[in-house]
Amino acid sequence: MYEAALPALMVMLAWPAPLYLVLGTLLGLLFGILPGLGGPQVLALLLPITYGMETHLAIVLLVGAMSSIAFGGSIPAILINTPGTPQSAATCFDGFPLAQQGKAGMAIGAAATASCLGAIFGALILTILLPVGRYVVLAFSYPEYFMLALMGLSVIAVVSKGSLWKGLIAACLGLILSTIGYDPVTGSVRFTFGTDYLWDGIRLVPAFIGLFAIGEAIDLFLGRGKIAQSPYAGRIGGIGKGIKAVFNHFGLFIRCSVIGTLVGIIPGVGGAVTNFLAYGHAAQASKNPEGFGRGDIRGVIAPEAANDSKDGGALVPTLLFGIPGSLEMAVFLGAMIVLGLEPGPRMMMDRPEVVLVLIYTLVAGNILVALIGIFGAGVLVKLTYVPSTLLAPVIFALGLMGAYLTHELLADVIIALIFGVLAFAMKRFDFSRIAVVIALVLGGLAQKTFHQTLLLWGYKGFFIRPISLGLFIVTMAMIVFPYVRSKLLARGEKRP
Amino acid sequence: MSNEKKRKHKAVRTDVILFDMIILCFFLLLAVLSSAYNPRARSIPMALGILGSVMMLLQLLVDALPGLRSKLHFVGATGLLAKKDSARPKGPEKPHSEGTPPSDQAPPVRAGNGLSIGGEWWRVLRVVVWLAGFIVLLAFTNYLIAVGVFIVLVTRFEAKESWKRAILLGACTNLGFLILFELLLKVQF
Repeated sequence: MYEAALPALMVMLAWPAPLYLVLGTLLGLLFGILPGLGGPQVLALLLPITYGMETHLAIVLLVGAMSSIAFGGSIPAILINTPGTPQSAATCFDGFPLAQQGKAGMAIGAAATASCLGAIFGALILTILLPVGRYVVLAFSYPEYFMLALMGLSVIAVVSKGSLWKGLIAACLGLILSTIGYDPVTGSVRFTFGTDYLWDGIRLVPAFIGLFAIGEAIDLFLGRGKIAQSPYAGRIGGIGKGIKAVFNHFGLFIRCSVIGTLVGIIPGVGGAVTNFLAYGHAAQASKNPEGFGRGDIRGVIAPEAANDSKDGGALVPTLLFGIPGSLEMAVFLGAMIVLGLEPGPRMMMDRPEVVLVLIYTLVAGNILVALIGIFGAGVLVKLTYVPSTLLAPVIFALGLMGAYLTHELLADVIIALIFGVLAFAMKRFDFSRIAVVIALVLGGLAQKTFHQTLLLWGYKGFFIRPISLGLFIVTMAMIVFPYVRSKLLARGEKRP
Repeated sequence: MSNEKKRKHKAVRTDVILFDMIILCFFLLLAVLSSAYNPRARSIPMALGILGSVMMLLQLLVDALPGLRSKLHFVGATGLLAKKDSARPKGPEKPHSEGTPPSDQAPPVRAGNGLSIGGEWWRVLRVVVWLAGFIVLLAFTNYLIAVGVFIVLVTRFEAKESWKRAILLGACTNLGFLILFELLLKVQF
């Protein structure tokens, strides 16, 4: 495969491929920024356009769009506490507080750099792993998926920085909400209250729009201030500090990129899990975790690195087996088939130049969108200084239209409104929205794989498989280690 | 404690207790409803419903009867990595991110936006009514009409901006949505 490296590079640089790269990247960025839209939508819209195009140009256009989604979703997450896509939800936790402190430029600079370098890392791993990735993919089964979900849920204990009790209640709420709808394992339809709409359960996109956009917009509107609490300095600085911060925390960046790539390899887990895992790891591994959730730049670097590195990982099962790692990959897989490409182990042997063009585009698209983000930050950051009474109504309209856009169902809009009011109330009474989000995302995966494991192996199934047992031990260590360390630190402080 | 403080203290506790009760009822409702499903289907939601109910009940008791806080100290325990210092921030309340460490006393009187507690919730209710109106408009008219009317009316009557600003904002938003959805994204609603 590697002998086609140089010819593939020449193909990608030959006109009009760069033009398609720019077009795809800009479109992906726009879709990433808008709540309610994301990778599946942009790929679905571009797919008909690629009919009749040359294969490599189509790949450049599609992968260029796909590569800029993650960072695009981070921009509203930082500026208005509204993730553009579910995979940018964790970036809100520290990105928005930074914007409130007048450091939006720093947050965007760090997000852009971490995203770009994370994508490059993921692409490198993809290139190395493709020949051997099938062993990793085939090793994962239901117990391993459950343990991965459990690992993600353990992050709740970390991010519940106020009342842990309320954090756990919020997690219970998220988990019980995830049981709504049709359960394929048990064959039951639960808590639909007679409506067909709830057969699919609580859809994540309208729920996220409600929890983040609408809830926050209500708060903004009542506050009658601006997002940024510090005075406008006349020029937006801190972007360079944000870029530098990634290199100052390079170890964290590398670890989170590894997390993103490895989790991305596992089909069906999705980007939303990845960014929570990375954020949780960053908080747990930190010596001074009190700043997380209050504008710690590491809380931006960690999820952003994982978000973009996961794309490289997600392409491993997609290219090797034709198993899509996410909804986005499912649409991309469809596009590849339409283009006459056959994903599978033979693709590396028969069409190595296509695989390499794909990898190069992934890297180039991320570099391009990072540059756009960095140079466009000055314009974007000004949003945080617009009076909230003018900004909030627009966010309301954009959020609700975003909820409507996905399936053109008014029920989605109603769900967004309900979750918006819930989010406002939770914020007022110190219940963690983060815990609800994590539990909502992971709850379905956790209970499905729990039942599947019990059916096949019983309870011992979680502990007799080495990867599952290893993940369980890591999860327990993640929960226990910070507590033990804080106790040891407290004991050390007490000594004269 | 002065009469004003007692009144505000009571008002704060009322909305906290109301919220706790709503969540408690939700957990109980789902726990009861889950009993109608087959054993495997009900196992997880019933367990979560019961667990959530118990936890929420304890939270409700602590919020309603602050004297119980010392006996049920685990209910007020902070997160694994939170600072042990749970002192309330001094001065005007700043916008906070998730999980501000709780105080051992009743929830603080909120005055950050200049509204009383009851006034704030009344305003929230009005915002929700406006949003519901937007949904109704969206159901029966074109999305551009819904967006334009919503933005103009909310900006004018809730945000108390001038008609000029409200209409300008509505027009700009409509133009932006038109370009975005119809020209760029080619979405047909």
